[in-house]
Amino acid sequence: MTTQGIRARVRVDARGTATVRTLIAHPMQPEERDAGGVLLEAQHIIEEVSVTLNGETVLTLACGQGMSANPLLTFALHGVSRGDEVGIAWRDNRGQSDSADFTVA
Amino acid sequence: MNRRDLLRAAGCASLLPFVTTLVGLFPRVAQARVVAAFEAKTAREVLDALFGDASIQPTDAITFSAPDIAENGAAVPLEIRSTLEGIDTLVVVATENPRPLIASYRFSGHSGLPVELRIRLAGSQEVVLIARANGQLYRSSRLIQVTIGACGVA
Repeated sequence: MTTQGIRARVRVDARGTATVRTLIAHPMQPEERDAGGVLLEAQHIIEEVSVTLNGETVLTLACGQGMSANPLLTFALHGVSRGDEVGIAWRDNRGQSDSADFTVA
Repeated sequence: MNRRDLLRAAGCASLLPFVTTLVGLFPRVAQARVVAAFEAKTAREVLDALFGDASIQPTDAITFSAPDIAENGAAVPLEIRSTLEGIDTLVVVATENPRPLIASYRFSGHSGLPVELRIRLAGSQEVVLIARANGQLYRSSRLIQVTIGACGVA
């Protein structure tokens, strides 16, 4: 897949702590039922986001349907230098997935 | 069912107690995604599925900024900080949502707080954070008022 769906900005400070802010395009559709319990909308959600630093997994985030549409996530990475590669990947409950790499500037 | 299938089934069944024991040896949240916890319909069930009967201490060392009154329950921003060292797990639970477990973070030594995310809230409710640091579980919570809930579906 293309990487249009994942955007990220990585800012690293003098001590090597990076603040990563990422926006993932995804509907994060919760299950919706009417008052009688009839299914109106089936769940379509990202189940897991994983983050790598130079290929090593450093963070996993398991998600439920309470995560807002188009997840906007910020987190910290330690021991980061300029030129390092931050990878962000997700997979959802319908077997779709996407990933993108960002070089620390 | 022929004889071969029967033997195969018996073989699998005999492995079951062994596999169950192995799973029991590790903290259950260590799995990437604990399906039972995400499908649970009450906060109590979520905590049971993730942490069993481990004790959880209240703490002031985990703080989260969030609006006291959120206009729109579809996207309520949370910013979570902590002064605790060595947090390897962070769980976000919206106690009154139909599916209370929202997020479960697993950190390595190379990642950590602060984190920010946006969550759906079905209505005004207590949002609970559970963090694990050095094997101990800590809990912090906050009431968030919601003007327009996320259609009762979050």
